[in-house]
Amino acid sequence: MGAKTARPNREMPVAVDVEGGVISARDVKAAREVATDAMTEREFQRLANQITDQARDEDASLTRAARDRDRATPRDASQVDSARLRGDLPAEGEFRRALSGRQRKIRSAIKNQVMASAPASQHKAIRTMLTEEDAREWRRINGGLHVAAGDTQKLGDGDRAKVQRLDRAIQSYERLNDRTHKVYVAVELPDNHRDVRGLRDLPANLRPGSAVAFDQFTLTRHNLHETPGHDSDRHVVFEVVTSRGMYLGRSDSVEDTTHLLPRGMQFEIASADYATYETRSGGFGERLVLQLRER
Amino acid sequence: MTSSEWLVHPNRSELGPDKPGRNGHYRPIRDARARLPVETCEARIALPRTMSRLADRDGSVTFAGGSWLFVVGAARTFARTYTDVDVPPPFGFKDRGQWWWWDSTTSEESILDGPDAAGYVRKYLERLFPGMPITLSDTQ
Repeated sequence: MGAKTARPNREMPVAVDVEGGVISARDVKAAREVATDAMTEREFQRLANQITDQARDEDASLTRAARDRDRATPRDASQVDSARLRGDLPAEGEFRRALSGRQRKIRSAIKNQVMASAPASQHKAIRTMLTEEDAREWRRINGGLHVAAGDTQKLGDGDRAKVQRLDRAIQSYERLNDRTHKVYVAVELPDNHRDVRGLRDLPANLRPGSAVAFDQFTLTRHNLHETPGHDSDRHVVFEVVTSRGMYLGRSDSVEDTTHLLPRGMQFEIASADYATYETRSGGFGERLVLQLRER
Repeated sequence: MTSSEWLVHPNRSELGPDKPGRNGHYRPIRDARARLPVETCEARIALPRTMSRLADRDGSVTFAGGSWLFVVGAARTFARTYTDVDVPPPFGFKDRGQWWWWDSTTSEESILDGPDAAGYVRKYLERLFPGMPITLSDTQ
């Protein structure tokens, strides 16, 4: 029995990770080790994808459709021409009001326009990914995008096509949209992490100045009080102001301000501040919010 | 085609761990080792012995941040979570160009920009932590 083998020292990557900051959302030790390697690799991957996408865009021999099909992440189709409709991240102390009925109606009208003109294939993609009760497809495809560092070309043909159909539905919305959106999404901290109430409670890699990537599609809410996890210290809430994504909420009295962000978004954490927000009953809620600025 | 067709099923955004395939899953992509938080404002509250499990070794709890608004926000969250005190409204916020304060007063400029900022903060903290000694420090 070769009980004593010359194994490489596998503790090294973990030692490197200590200064880099705990990767908050992974399991204790093994995941940390894996994540260090995987993150470095995926960072390169993401950068390589970006460079390849840019180079392909300069290749005049390809049609626009071919260039779009081969892209790793979707093109940003949004624009906000009016300075009045272009929002920025709220300043410290700014009250976060719920989205007004008028704003919901405007967004809903564009959603209905997109829905009416969408081909059957996009309707099917939206149904299986988002509206059906069975969430397996959403989890499976989003999980695949994570593994691939956001590069849809690494998925199987069927999944790639579905992802790109959802991309195109979002882009249709982005083309018609004329304003920015302020949206929220929460992330649950792992059990081994303490509750977050102060700056020092934040995972080191989620402090202001750090960067965050969403390789997957992300469901957000325009209303902070509607965002799952808004009332919990076990969750970190991100606030994003962007012209990207598609409103999927309602315009009527039912409270639903869901907004789907495209995959492949990259942000920098601009600040971590306490924010006061309007609750469902019209009262006040207050919580720590991490503001993300698009990069 | 009805307008209710593209409505996201609630289970897509239900709460869950930060894992691949879950909504809101993020991946931090830059080393942030140099970014230590800047905490210029600090409030230290000496907690009674009954709350010692929540206290630091010296029996107090400290709320610190880059501004007094951060400190009172953290303190209020703590009080709401761990004490029976009748928690007052949030310290203050700016809405439509005007500041609204917890004691129902309003102002054009933030009272926290003035020389009495620490005094206002102390008054609020005394309401949150009645009878507990409070120490404030500001190194701005």
